[in-house]
Amino acid sequence: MTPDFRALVAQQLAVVGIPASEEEIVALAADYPGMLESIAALYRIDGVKYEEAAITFRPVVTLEEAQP
Amino acid sequence: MYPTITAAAAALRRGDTTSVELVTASLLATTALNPTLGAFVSRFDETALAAARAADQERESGIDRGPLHGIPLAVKDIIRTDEAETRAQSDVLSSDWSNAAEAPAVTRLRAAGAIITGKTSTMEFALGFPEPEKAFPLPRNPWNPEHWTGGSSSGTAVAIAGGMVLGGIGTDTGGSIRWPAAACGVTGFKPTFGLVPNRGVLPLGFTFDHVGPLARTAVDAAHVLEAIAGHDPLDVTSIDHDLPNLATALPDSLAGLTIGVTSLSNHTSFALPELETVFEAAVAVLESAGARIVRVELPLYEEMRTVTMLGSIVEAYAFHRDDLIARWNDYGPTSRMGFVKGALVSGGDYLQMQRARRVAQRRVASLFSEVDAIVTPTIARAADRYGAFDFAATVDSMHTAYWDALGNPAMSVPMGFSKNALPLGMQIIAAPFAERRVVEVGNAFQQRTSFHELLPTLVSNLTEHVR
Repeated sequence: MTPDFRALVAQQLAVVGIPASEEEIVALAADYPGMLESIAALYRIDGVKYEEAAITFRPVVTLEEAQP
Repeated sequence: MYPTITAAAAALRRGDTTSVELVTASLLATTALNPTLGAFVSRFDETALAAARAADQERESGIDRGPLHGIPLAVKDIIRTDEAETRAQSDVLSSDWSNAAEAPAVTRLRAAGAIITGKTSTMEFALGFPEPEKAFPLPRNPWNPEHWTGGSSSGTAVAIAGGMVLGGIGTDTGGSIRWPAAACGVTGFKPTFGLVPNRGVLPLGFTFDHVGPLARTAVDAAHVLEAIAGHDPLDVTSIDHDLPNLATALPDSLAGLTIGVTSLSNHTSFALPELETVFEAAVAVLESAGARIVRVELPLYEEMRTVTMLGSIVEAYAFHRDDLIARWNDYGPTSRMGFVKGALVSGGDYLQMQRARRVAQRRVASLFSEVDAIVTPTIARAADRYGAFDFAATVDSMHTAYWDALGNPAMSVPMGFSKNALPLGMQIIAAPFAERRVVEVGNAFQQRTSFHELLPTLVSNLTEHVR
């Protein structure tokens, strides 16, 4: 089944509540397949399946950092 | 105005000039050229002159804060300063954020004696493209004001190329220091990720954002970087790493260094026809300086461009989501259409970008075991003319974004001109925290070329008392 990218974009933005115009939705939908292909290429990199992510969680927060 | 920070600092130490004279010349040049070039969004004339008087008094009493003492510099208007609200070229940014504490990078410049003369124009929220319908100054290229400047640290690059300041700071998430530096014919230096604190700087992509210097030369940029680098315990992205001296005792030659070279011509169909010739001439200069030249390929090039261009947008979306919902039409059309793409990427896909990044880091670390530095064109095109702006070609031509995903230090130096007389840049990259190596290569190139010394006609035409 071929995805309806215009409908996909419109739904995702509507769910969030972003009031993009029809013209903008069409423009985003036109870019969407290329974007998904670029992302898919990241899953095909040798060795990536067992790689760590380049971001880390820090368990410690200092009192100075704890100030709002 | 003296041509460089180094020359002005030497003149100050000799007593040939004063900081008040330097700042006055800077303000006069700004008055003369800013209406045409749109470099500054706010000016700090009174506080700058007061700081200059204080710097002169300190010098008279024997206090020497180093090469930036009494030197006029500019700050990109996404970086908080005490003098004025930060606007980020936007009608949306909350004053709660804008009026909070000054960025440590700016406070460190002041501690080094620098004089902040004003805040410089950018693109809305530093996303990188002009929004002409907004009521903010539109930065124009000093080499031809009908052309753009590259983005998004545009105003800082324009102010330096326009002789309004001797240096300044900007930010680089996908190339926003190096691209305007290349387009305006100045030097721009993105340091290693985490070397300069991002606190007090409007986030674009928090795992991609770098604060760094722009100046006329590699050595001047090194002086500014030495002032702003250093660990900030309140900044989660800051890394505690000792920076070696960057700007003194630099070698005269590049003998013993191996430099990996790639024109990246396979990665864009939008390169200027003359780019290859200009770039190879620049590489020949490095070879004549003693470097051994080897051809290299950058691993996972397209993948890392995707990671930077899309990953930073996902991170920016988290910051902007609520404002996009409530104030969609207050954003410029280019920036809102950029940020909203973050809503279309899944959380899993974002994490995959961060995993792909780590693979590429390992492969590039392996490459740097074989070479001391890498050079590429900074961007494969010169700045487009306003009104004939090619968004797709520009993005496709940027060779900067790869290095934001990886975090390596990367500098753009002027390497020549396009056929329509607009500047082109060469990018010099080294291993993480090997900033000194980048400066060595950039300085050796600039010792043998004069592109960084050339002035646009409208600057050289200024009367002597203004210059």
